[in-house]
Amino acid sequence: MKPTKLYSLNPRAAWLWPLLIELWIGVVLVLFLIIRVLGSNMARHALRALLSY
Amino acid sequence: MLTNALGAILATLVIAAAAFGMGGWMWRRLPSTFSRLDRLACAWLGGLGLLGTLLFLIGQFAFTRTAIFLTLGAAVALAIGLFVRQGKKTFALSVREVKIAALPAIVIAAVLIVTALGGLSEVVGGGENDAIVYHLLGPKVWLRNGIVRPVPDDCQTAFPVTAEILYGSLMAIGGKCAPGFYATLTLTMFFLVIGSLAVRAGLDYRGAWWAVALVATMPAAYFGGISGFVDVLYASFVLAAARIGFEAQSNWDYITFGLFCGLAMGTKYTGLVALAPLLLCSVLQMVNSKRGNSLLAMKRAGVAVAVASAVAAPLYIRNWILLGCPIYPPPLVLFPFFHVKYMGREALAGFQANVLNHVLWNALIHASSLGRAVEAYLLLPFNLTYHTANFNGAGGIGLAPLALGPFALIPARRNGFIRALALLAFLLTTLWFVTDQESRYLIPVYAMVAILAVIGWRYAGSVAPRFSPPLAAAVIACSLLYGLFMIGSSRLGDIHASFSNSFAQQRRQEHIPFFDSFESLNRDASVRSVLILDPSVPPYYCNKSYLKQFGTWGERTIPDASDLDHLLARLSDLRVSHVLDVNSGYFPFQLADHTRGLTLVFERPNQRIYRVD
Repeated sequence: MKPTKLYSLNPRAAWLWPLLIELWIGVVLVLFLIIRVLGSNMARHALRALLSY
Repeated sequence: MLTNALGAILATLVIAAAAFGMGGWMWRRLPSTFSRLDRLACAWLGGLGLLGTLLFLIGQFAFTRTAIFLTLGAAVALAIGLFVRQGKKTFALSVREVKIAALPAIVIAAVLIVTALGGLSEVVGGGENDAIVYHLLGPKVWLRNGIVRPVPDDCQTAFPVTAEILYGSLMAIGGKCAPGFYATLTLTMFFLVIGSLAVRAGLDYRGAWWAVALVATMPAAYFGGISGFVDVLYASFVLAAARIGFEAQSNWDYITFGLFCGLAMGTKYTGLVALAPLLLCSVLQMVNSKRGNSLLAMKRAGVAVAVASAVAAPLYIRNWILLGCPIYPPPLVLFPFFHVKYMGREALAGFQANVLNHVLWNALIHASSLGRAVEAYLLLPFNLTYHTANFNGAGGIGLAPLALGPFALIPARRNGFIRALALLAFLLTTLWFVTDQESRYLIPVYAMVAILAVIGWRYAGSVAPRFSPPLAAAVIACSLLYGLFMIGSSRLGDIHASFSNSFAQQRRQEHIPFFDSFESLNRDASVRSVLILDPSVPPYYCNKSYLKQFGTWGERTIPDASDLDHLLARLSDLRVSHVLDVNSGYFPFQLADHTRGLTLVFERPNQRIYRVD
């Protein structure tokens, strides 16, 4: 039996899989920026200093 | 300071050469499909593990400087012989074969340089630092006593000690800074094994360099390999076992596979937990790749189990003979079946609760906990990426495993090796989740998911070529830069201490508990043996022979001295010359003023030293 590719099952949905991949990577990246960078103690202190200034 | 640095470098070079000599026989016994990189990675690492095992066996009779120098000398002579006989033909890695990728190579070199520079400083810390509490305490006491025996006041020195034996040898050659610098060698070996595994999983050398760079900049992995921690060495043995076991076919292949399983069991108790998943994945891989039927696979797995048991046996048999149980301190379920010495049931229950309840501990300290519920298990990839501090893995593992790793499972449908690797990562993570949720114990999985991340990166780039390459590049850049920042900033103090005597001294004063008392005891020539009354005082800093009535976990070192009065009456029998009494915050001063038979000779805030009259 010839193997089938996941994204060639339905030609009309061929654009969906690449979009999902890009969305997934983008979401992980944005969450990192929010949780680990903006949510870090250093960022909080910087923001507090900026607001008090 | 320069002497310390030169000693540490020399000791590491000697151990590196000795490991090469010890692993020489393995070079030809590894699977025939192995490249020179694979052989170098596995034979060198295997040699290091065998060296530790041999020194442990010799150390049961004599762990003196002479015994250590003779053993290492013989192993180095073997290495020289191999070089002379085989020369560049066999050992030299072809630069053309490896193909260095500049950017990841710079990142890896930066991590190794930081490790080397920071490793030249003395490891300092208090009772919260496992390295001070037992990884380095054991080797120091063994060297002083000239024999390898569990230290009675810390049951954790009875853990498997393949790595700690090497610390003792390093201290014998290069002094107290040598174990810190030696991390450069173990990290190098770890990176070589990851590179070998990555290439076998289908990556080219450029991809393998990226996988190694991702692991090198994972703070959660890095901190398990420096300052006396043994988790990176353990992870290297597990990964090497997977590398050989997933491709093993002949009996010799399974013997070397079993050897690495045994070395993992001889380095950490978690090696016992890793054995079953390694065997299962190896058997499945053999059957699925049609290299043999299930009966043959089971037979070969039996060979691997026999070899693994034989390699790890000395450590466990020693515990059984000396302490009453092969696994010491034993889990409570084993308590009724063995005559456990030096620890009561309550002490064991306290120890086990601590081991199994890192989750609870983290809940108390960080006010955050995941527990062991199903939803916590499902959220694990998210929390391992964004909240690794919950598992004592501050700094995390970067973004790449979560962002790109899942896509590796799609090409894995056609690659049995990746499937086996992914299954092993899944099984090890599940076992980790239900046992001890300490980030360091998951380092083998971190390495595997980094390899999967690079495979997923390649896949995403080919399937979604418009936006995924810049997004993936941003993910990789965030992972590397964040990891480098975390590693660099945490080691700045160590590097500063390596180059500044005054800063090193200031750091010792700040980080060594009861520093003044230890300085006084170590300097005073009349001090022969010290009685330390407070169980929480880390005796690592005492250069003289010492005694503790009770250990940190309630170990009873002098069974017939049930209380302080009995102990004080026996001081002259025990040949104690001085008594250290402190107010640690956990326990108050234990001696009343003007105790008979003792004279106060030194006093600082919360610290008192008495001379036995």
